[in-house]
Amino acid sequence: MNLLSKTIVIMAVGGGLCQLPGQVNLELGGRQIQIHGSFSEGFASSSDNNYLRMDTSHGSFFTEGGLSVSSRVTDKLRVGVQAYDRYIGELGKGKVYLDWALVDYHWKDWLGFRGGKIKTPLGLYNDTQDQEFLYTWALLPQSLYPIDLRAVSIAHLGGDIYGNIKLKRAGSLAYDAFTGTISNDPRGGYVYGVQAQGVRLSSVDLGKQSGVDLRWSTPVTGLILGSSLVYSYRGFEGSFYPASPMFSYSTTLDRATAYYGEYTRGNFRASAEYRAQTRRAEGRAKVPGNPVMLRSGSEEPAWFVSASQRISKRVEAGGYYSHYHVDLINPRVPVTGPGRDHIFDKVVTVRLDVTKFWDFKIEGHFMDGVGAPGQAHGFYPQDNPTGLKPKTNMLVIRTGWYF
Amino acid sequence: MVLLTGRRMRLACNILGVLICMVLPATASGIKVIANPQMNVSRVSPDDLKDIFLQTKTSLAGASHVEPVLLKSGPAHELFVQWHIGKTVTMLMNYYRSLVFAGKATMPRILGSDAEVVDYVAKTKGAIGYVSEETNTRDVKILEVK
Repeated sequence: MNLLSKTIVIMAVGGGLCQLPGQVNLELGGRQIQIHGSFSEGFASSSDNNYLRMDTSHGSFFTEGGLSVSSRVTDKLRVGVQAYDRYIGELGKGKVYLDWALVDYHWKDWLGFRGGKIKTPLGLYNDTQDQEFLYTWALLPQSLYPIDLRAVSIAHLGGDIYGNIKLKRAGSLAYDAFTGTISNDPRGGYVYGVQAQGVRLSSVDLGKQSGVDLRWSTPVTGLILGSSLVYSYRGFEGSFYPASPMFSYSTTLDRATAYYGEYTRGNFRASAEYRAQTRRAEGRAKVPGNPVMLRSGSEEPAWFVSASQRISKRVEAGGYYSHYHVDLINPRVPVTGPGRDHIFDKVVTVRLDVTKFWDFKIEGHFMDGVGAPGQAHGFYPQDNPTGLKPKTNMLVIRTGWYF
Repeated sequence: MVLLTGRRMRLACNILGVLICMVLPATASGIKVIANPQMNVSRVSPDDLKDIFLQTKTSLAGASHVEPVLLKSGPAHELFVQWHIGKTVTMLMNYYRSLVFAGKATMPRILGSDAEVVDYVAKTKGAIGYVSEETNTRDVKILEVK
């Protein structure tokens, strides 16, 4: 399908979708069942490197969508499930994922329990990162919310304890403590990043994940401050090309610490987040005694600042600066070349709300750096066989529907 | 004519703000906050009302469960959302959507007219809503926001 015909199909589908009501409610046995959905289609074109596993240097479309069904069983008990699908170059490739599926018992305002597959609270936007319609931006700051690495951070299978504590004149504090396991996505950036280092994977083990998120609604109207701490585990087994002895890789420490804030006043919104990712790992030979072959790690400080303003009823404009830096500790292959230890992204966006349920965005990215090999963050050697260039400019056009 | 500049201007603004707060009621004029008549509540604080509509408060003293009910659109809706919740209508809807799509809440009941809100609140245990001032609210309880 050529560019013009695909655009026409997208506009036709969009025209149909925007006729949908704000929500779809069904009554079953006296209970309300809510159905909500979102669908977005984007186009990315970059000047030099291919980005996010797409052929962006020649222009590439990408698609994302979700559908949720939920119901309140009693005043305190709620159940729900959401399916999610994406086709972003080699990411997702159209596979339908179980995004979340949970039982939620909200006993008191200050204490509730969730069990099942649950979105992970980390920083400002981790659990809402797929909802492009919430944001001015076509792409969230990739330093902190890389869509290629979505699978390793988006959700955990386990349980949450959460609540909201009133602090009288000091506002309120929402907390969410969780533990569970994370699942591997064979069509995700973690696997592609490992393969990019010449590893033939035999198994991937993304294990336990535990953490806590604290979000303080301050007495200053519109100001939210928060912090998250998440411990994870990652591991895999495989061998290097060409055939070599099997080895295992496992993290001994994988910790993300985030500090964030958001301020809204009228039609103005500003937000910022800093996250420190510390990782230490061991590579062991799969021979008797499992001797340690390599101890490596990384420090990956990342942050962004953003501001946006709704100019009129339908138009919003803004920009952000996204900063990602990586220091490798004892890397297997020395890192050389310009831009191999950072990605700095300056972004400007204009958003148009065509209707209440249909948005359209144009966004410019001006990126310096491509990050380190082995720390996948959008730029992959598989998509850039002639080598990565230090700078990348990219245009993103995205439209989304939701109900 | 006396020109107010700098510190005097700020002082005048502060005094004006205090006077406005003293004169205006806690509820935005033009709106009635209503509740199911079985609720043993006659008054709700502005903070509690805001928390109920932000779904961070699910009970009140005198009501073991409360359920917010919203109007779909109109002047009363816009006034209520801005005055009592402190958000624009777009921001509030995005707030609800962020909860729904993250699996953290269901969308509150949103009804198309004042009459529908009154009817639903009258029939539903724990329901709290708002309607324009001229609406007939004989079947529901009017809450004082204080």
